[in-house]
Amino acid sequence: MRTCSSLVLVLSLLGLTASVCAQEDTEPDAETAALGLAPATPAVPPVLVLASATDRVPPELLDAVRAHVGAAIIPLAGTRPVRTVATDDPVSVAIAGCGDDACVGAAIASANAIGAIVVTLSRRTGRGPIALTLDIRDPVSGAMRLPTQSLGLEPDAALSALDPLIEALRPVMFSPPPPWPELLITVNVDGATVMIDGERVGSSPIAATRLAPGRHAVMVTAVGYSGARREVELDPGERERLDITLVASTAVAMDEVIVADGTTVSGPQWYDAWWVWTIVGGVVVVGVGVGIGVGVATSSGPPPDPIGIPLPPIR
Amino acid sequence: MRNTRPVLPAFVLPAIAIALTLSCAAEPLEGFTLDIQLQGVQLSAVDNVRLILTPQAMGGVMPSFSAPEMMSYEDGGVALSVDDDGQLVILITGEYFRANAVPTGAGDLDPRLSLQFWSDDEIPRNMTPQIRGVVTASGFDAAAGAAYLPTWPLTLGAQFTLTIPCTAGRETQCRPTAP
Repeated sequence: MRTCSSLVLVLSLLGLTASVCAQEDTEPDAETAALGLAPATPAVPPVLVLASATDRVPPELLDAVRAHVGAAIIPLAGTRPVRTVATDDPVSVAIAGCGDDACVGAAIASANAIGAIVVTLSRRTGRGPIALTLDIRDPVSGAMRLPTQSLGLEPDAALSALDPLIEALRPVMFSPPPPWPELLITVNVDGATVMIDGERVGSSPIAATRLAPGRHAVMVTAVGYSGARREVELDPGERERLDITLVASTAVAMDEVIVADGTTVSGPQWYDAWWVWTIVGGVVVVGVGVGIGVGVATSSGPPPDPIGIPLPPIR
Repeated sequence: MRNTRPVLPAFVLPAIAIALTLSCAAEPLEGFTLDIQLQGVQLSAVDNVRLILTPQAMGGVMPSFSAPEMMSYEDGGVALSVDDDGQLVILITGEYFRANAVPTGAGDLDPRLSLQFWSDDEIPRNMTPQIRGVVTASGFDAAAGAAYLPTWPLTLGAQFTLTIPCTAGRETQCRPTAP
């Protein structure tokens, strides 16, 4: 995401609260993004985000832009904030903490938006032209759909140039992103633990799971069965089915499994065999018997003489 | 039941240890080890070695070892007797000494013999007996050394070295075949 040095102006076109970035390299709270799981289906129109990367942009222009599109203006780490609008909107907080594209995309997706136009106003000097930059960002991935468009405009022309630029981008904005691939995993054993990329996603039978495009490792384990591991490559929009058949393992071959509650259970070991403990018990009984017998036999008489030649006492 | 099985060795192993301890409890203890170290004496020249243990006087009374008759051990290789002065004389035959001593020097020089003794004397002595060693070699009393025993009664498991050097002027008898 673009660096915002002083203040950030967040604008919501359709009455949605928006916010913007800061330049911290912190990750958002996006468990679903970490797992690669897809968010809920987008149901509301997109959020349009307008950001300014400098405090040299005339306040009048910012006011005009805000009035034009109904934006909220949130200064972040600015030395001379032009406007301050407090917000408790979690989306604002999420985007404000973003340091990379994925973070921005996850924040956009968490607002149920299908994309965002990020407009950056910046100015190198107090009297120079206003640089107007527009990016279109995907939800979740946060990647730019189109090459960045930049214009150098005088302040008076900046506002008038904004509308046609945004309108030109709207068709792209409203084209829905490719759907997330889905993976349906079937297992011949109910209650088997299903893990995707090392994360437990549930026990069989399990519903289709939406995953990020790419390669995923599927691991299925069940008590009494040999574990199965598969790798699957998922393309955007693909619906893949993976049928896994677990094979019952013998008592000796069974090693270690993780059961549904997460506890680790060891398989049969050498000490599980009955004959081992029969032998051990026999040895113990004989050993104790011999020891006690010898002990009793020797304790009944005088203690043995030490090794060596006895010397007479002195009188 | 599964979780209790690994615990079983914790009971089994101590039981085996106790059994072994009981079975080994009757083993006799090590005696007091006396190392007789000859210096400048060839092993082949030793005719015999005498150890004379002399009790020390206590309160003006000269004690003595009590032994009514001569006793022999190691198939006659070691003989114990008490002389008229109440001294205990331990005579080690040359044959036994030569068969059991180990040279610690070049050739058969500086032999050392280890013997184990014990005493069930119940009266401890602050003044421990003196022990003198006399080596008869080539027909002469050629080497002699003396010391005091570290404790009395002898401490089981302890070790003491009595050094018996060749007497000055008796080199010919101590080392008759030495170059």
